[in-house]
Amino acid sequence: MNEVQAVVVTDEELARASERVVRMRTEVGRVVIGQAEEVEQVLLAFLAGGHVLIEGVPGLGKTLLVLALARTFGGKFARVQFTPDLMPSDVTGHVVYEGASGTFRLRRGPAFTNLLLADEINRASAKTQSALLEVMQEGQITIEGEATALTPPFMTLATQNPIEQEGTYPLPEAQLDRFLLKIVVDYPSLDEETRIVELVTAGRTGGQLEVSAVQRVCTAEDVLALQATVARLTVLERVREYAVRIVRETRTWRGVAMGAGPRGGISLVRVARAKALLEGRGFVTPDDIKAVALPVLRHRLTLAPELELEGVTTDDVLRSILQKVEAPRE
Amino acid sequence: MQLERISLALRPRTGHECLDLAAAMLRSWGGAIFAAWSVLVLPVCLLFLLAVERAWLALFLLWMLRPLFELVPVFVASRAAFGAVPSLQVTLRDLPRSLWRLALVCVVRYRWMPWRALVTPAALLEGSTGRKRAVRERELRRSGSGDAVLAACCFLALEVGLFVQGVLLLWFFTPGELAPDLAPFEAGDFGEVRLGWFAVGMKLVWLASYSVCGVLHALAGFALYLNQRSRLEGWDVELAFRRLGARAAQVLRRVPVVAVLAFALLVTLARSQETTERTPESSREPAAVAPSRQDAAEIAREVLAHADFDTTETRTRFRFPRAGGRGDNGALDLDVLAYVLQFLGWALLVALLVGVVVMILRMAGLIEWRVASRPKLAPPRTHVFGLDVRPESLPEDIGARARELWLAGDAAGAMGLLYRGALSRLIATGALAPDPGDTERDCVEHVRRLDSVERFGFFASVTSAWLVCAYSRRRPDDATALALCDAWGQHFRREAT
Repeated sequence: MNEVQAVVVTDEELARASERVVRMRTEVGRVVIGQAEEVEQVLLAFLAGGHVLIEGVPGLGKTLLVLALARTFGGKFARVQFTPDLMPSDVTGHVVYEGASGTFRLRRGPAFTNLLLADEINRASAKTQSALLEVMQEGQITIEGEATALTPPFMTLATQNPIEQEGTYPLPEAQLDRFLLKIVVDYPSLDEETRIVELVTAGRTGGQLEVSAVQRVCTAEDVLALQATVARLTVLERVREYAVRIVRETRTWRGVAMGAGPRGGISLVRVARAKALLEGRGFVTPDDIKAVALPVLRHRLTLAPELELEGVTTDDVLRSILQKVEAPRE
Repeated sequence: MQLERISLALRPRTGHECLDLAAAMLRSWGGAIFAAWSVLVLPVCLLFLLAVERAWLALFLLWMLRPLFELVPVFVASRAAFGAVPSLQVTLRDLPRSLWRLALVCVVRYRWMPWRALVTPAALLEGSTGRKRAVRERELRRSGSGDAVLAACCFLALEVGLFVQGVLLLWFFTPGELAPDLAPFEAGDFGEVRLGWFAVGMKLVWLASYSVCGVLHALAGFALYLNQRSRLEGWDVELAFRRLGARAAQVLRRVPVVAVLAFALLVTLARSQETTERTPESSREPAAVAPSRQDAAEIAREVLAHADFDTTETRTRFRFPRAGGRGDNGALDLDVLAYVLQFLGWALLVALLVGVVVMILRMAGLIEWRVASRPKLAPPRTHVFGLDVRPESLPEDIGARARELWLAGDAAGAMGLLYRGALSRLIATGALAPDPGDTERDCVEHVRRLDSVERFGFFASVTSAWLVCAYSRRRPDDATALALCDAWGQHFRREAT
């Protein structure tokens, strides 16, 4: 068996990393009521060094989530509201001429941050979307021919509204594929919503987001170390093969017009590693692959029109695929 | 009947032209027809729809009464066709008696005839009863029942189409907060759907669509009836002769009457004289003597026997061969096959009818559909996750054997044996039936739901230890592993072989 083994993660390192990740999740959970699954998935994408596409109606705490996550490691946070007239330079930055000194100066855009919330990304034109996606892919921004690297860790959380499609520019499949996860945020339960209302209204004026309860548990360098640890967790050949078999099954599944590409399998393994760390394990099991398959693959599948007309969703198809693909055999 | 007063153009028409005639009648006399319809039919329909609690029962009763309702437009159209459009008072005075007279036959007999629109005008307008009416209906149906059935199908389809479109229109214009909750309907629970006021709207939509299509259907039947009568009795020819006669009379009025009469008298006298001279006295018969009834019948038979009246009509239809028809002369005897097919056909028809009745009763909530869910007996699994879980493949004392393997340094073998043994026991006791896509955690979940808490805890621990060995190439610590080996028999002792 050809196992690709990196430097083995020691038990101490694993315990420390796991404890740190759990604390980050706990801290975020102090202000983000409910939505434990969504918080965990954002954290997984962050640990795996990927970007997230969040789908949900406005007002479900997406900005709060990102703000709280940035606070856990003392990182910078920026938010850009995407509109049809937003230009690429509004995101990346531009060079301005300063008359007093007679020089050109780089004015950095909001993309120069650690966590970037691209709100309603599908409202901007394809040109602006492409500029952002290039930033996501390359990790650097080129202005006037000069490339400037972003300070890691960097993660984009793009949101889109599933209801209003009027005047939007849906992301093409190739660009969707660049997002590590697609997270679907749903309305909170009655208890959770009651707690949210209580927390937000108790002794406060206005509707400002309050994240002062979130403690800083690590630094940006620690996050980079965590990401490095995640990348070194053990994934056996048969577990990788399981991930690939799931991805390949999406290409031949009846009713799927376009299945996931190789990036789907890569993403599955990356996120499964983060999941293993979150659970305090130094190795990835088929359960980790299965647990993250839906958010990793749901935006990489295109259903045939007849299946969509029947009301079948990509999640339904993926569940059927996961039921059919045999788990790894010893 | 004063045929010359008819206000329609009588001529042989095809079935489609009769439908056109029905539409023309509705355009011309729609006011009188719908006035009578509104007074005599709509109140009854509304009463049934609103008073009868079960909608299906109300619709069924109205469906039974349809032939009776359809007499209303036929009555108005029949009077109007002969130049006297009846007022509402006249209709209310004359029609109820006819409706009462025909109520039973409409429900019992005409309801089940798809060609009823063709024959009900005869029952209403000709007043014949019993055998005479049956003979009359047979005459009318001889070549007109096909068009009548076609018309019934068309107007039924039109009625259903109008109803569906009307309901959709109602649905589209219903504000969201007033729309009925169709969630139970989507879940297949027809009994739980409460349509509320929307049901009333649906009933009114149906009434509107039926009012249009029912009236048109009745008028189409009346047009077909007129067509059949003019074909059978030569109404159009008679009318043509009458018009011809009227024209001739007009021409004659312009010639000097005296001259014509004189000329005619002279000619007649001359011929009479000539005939008298040639005919013997004995053979002369009084001209005024009419032939007897018997002679008349004889003369009629002679006339009908003439070649001009000898018409041959060939009709083709399918029928079963008679017994012994062709078997004797060596040809293939298909009697048995024919009877088998006949039996199967009837059986299929009966099954279909029973099925339809059962479906209706089920949808009405009168019976419940209970299908005994038989537990699926899947063959016992022999391999799970590539592990052989057959009892005979396992050692007698699994815990002790696993301990030996662990102490010998075979950690994967020891944990694998514990896990395999646990799976084997759980599958044998029915606490676990893993699917091909199930992972280790899925199995733990199954056991959590189906087995005891203690055994679930132990199985989860064994699974964790097994996962460490299987997917990280590492060993659990000695204490944990040995504790699992020792406790294995305690948790699975009862089933141990």
